[in-house]
Amino acid sequence: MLWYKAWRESRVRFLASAVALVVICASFVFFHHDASGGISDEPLSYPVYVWRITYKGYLRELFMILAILLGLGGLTRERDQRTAGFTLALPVSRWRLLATRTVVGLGQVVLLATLPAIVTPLLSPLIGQAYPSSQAWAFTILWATVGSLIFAMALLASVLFSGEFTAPVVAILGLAAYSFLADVRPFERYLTDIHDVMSGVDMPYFAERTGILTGPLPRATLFTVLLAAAALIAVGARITSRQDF
Amino acid sequence: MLLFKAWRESRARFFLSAGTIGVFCAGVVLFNVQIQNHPAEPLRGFQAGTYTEQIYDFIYGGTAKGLFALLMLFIGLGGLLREQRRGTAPFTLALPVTRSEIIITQIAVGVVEVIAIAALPLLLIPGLSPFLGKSYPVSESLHFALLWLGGGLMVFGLAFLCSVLFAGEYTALLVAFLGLFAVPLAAQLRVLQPYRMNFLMTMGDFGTMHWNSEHSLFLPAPMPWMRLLVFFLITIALLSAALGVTKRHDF
Repeated sequence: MLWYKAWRESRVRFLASAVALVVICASFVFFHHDASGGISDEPLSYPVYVWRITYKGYLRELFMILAILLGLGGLTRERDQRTAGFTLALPVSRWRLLATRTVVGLGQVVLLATLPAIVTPLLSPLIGQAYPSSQAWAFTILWATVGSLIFAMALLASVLFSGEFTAPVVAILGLAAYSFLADVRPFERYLTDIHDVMSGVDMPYFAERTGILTGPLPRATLFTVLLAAAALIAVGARITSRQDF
Repeated sequence: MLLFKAWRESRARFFLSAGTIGVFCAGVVLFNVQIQNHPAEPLRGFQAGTYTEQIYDFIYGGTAKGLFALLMLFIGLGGLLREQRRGTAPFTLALPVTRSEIIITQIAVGVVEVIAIAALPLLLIPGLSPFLGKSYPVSESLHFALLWLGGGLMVFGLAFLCSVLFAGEYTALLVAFLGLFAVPLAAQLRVLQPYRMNFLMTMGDFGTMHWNSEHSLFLPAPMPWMRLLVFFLITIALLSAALGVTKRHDF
């Protein structure tokens, strides 16, 4: 029942996001001549084009925003809508409520991350091009991992801030601030640039000239990102358990 | 009273947005000095040679512009559907004012907030630069303030229309985000390229910036007044549609 509740509360956002990503990925494939001219004056190979427009460019930024939107909601919002009393009267712990919402949300983020990996290799042959599925799925792992962290940031913001739009604004600004600090001395030595992890820019496992992931994925970095996401979720759970609704 | 109500409902978002843009602008000026002292590892966006180019790369054509467009989505979220979800719509509709007055007041407060945030770089950058022995032309700041105002009002109008069309929580925000991302993507289609629909590029004067003869100032092109007029007309159309939808909605 909690799963169904979490799904009902987020399904519109998830389905709209999924449809948008599929349509955009398909558009990138079918209109690749037009779009290629918009991102570079020089002709691009198809893998480089796919990388620049999907895994480095607009679609990556859109995915990050969508991950934030999927992390919103929760008991703090229900308090404003005066339904928190009904939810808290259910014979389940607050931790279970949060955990269920978290699992459903993370599953949605992972599913969104897989969509480019399904659509792009599937449709590329229709225009006489090919994009390796192995590349697409490797980027899926990167996106799903970083997306989990972004989701966790939004989830924590939704626990802390009750205003309807305060939580998403704070989450977006938090992401922007992190991105800024990750490029500034002396913080850049200690903070992982999650944008670069997602896109492969300046990473040893990616060759920008060919647009291909060449090396093993950074397991230590990805594990650290997942650990950070878990920490944020744990903090959110702790705060929720002590909040007065 | 309606003005105060609209202000109370939007002030948190306004202060967050204004604070963000303000801190960005002030930070760019302050970081400029530090980055110049550490040329080995320049911050991305600060790899330009002159001060005006650096300001442009980071503020008017870079991160701050994108953030401004995103934040205008939040400023634009209003309407009465939110109140319907909270159960306060009957109280608001029982006030001795027309629905048009309620919506127009929300729009007016929102427009003033957009103007205020778009004007922040105009105040801060030429104002703070002399403290570091730098200068930034006020005319250039005013140029970009008007471009940001034009684009920002369109984003505001888009978000406001979405908020009166979609009742689900965060659905309006999601649709508005998708609209914001869809326009630059659609603008790349060959059939649409002559119309230069990518308003984000217009806000940053992409492709038209140039150097002065001494190569000391990075200057924008002449103000695209016709394009700004189109932006304002689109904004008026979006807000008028939102007003029409609200007047007919059954709460």
